[in-house]
Amino acid sequence: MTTTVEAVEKYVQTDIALHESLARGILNVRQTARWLLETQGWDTTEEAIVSAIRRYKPDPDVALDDVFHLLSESDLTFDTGFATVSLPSAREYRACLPAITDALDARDTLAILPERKRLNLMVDEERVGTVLDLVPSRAACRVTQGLGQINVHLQQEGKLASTALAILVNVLGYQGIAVHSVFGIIPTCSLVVTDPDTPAAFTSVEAVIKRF
Amino acid sequence: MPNTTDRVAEILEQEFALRVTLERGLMNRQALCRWLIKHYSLDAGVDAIDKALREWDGATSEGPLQAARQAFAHVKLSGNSPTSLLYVKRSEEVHDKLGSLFAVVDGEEEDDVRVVPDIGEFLVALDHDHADEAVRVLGAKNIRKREDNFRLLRITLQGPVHPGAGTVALAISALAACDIEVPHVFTGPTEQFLLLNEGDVGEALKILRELKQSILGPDEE
Repeated sequence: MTTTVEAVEKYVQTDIALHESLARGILNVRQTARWLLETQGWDTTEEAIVSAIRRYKPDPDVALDDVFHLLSESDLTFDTGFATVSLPSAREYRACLPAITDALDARDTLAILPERKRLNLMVDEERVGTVLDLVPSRAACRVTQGLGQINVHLQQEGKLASTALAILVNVLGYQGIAVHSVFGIIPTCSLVVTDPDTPAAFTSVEAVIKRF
Repeated sequence: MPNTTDRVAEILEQEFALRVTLERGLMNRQALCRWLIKHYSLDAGVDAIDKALREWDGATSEGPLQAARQAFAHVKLSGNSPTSLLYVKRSEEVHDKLGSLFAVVDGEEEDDVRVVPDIGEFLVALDHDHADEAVRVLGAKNIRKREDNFRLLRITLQGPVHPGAGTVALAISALAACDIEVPHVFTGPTEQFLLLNEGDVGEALKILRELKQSILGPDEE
């Protein structure tokens, strides 16, 4: 059971733009209530949402200025030319993994990430053929080529760093750049995007970081 | 010295939250003008700033967040497996052995191994019960650090909308708002994994379930 107050609170906590505007006292509360009612399709009233927004007190501990300050101190690099090879996770494919890692160099493999019934290998684009030569059936594998990654090294761990990662993903999303995968070994995060997007994504992340 | 219109456009370029809120038409413009003048020490009046804001032409981009929320309403949340992390030297010797780790866990999906890159290292996350064997396979001398106090929380995307990493950003924001740190995140196309400190996982599951419910909307007043 969720009340309007809870729904509004959860929404604002996860919508960084709304949270920050509310914290700065520059939000048009009634317009926001109408917009939430329209976009979220909630079964409640505009008045109930207005009242819930007015009751909501943004947590000063998650002040975005601190997050952006952390971002401004981070190191940023980007690489391109990666691919993902998604194998079935059946035993005969898993059995190929020792031969695959043996055939590739340490710098060729970025990640091995199992998912539901799949094993995703992120490798150097030029080594996709090597991987496919070692599996029982090429047809059962899905290949996504042309990936790049933005590497952000934040200078600290903790809640601020987690929030910074969420902001980066959101910023890229608003720029129309989908982040396919995230490897966040906080304080380091790698955001995987499609290769043609990588320079644009890099510029977007840089713009956020340069805010301070 | 840039004119007011150029300066306001420059600020909006950097101020992601302001831009999005303006594009959505949710801003109290008078309050925003006063805030900009104060925060950026602008040498212009409210009317001039308001004019500059009107000249700024933002394009609405509601897609990513709404798509992430729509997808999150249908995710399956599971997990709670005790998980160990091995920080392993990124060398040819270690790399050649990575594939063998999958024999250690013997194809049990829930116990699977995840290998992700870090600077000069691979980070290997696997079920706590298999950690000793993994250390043996990779060679103890290659392990820089081992941590055993994590739990794995799995977010499985169910619906037709796959918004990339938007759902995991949503989850991290919700957890951060409740003071829960997410030390490690790995996402793939259909499943996303949060590695949480052992003591946080119960509360994190509760928060994310509440988030799902809140997206579906209020059902009582």
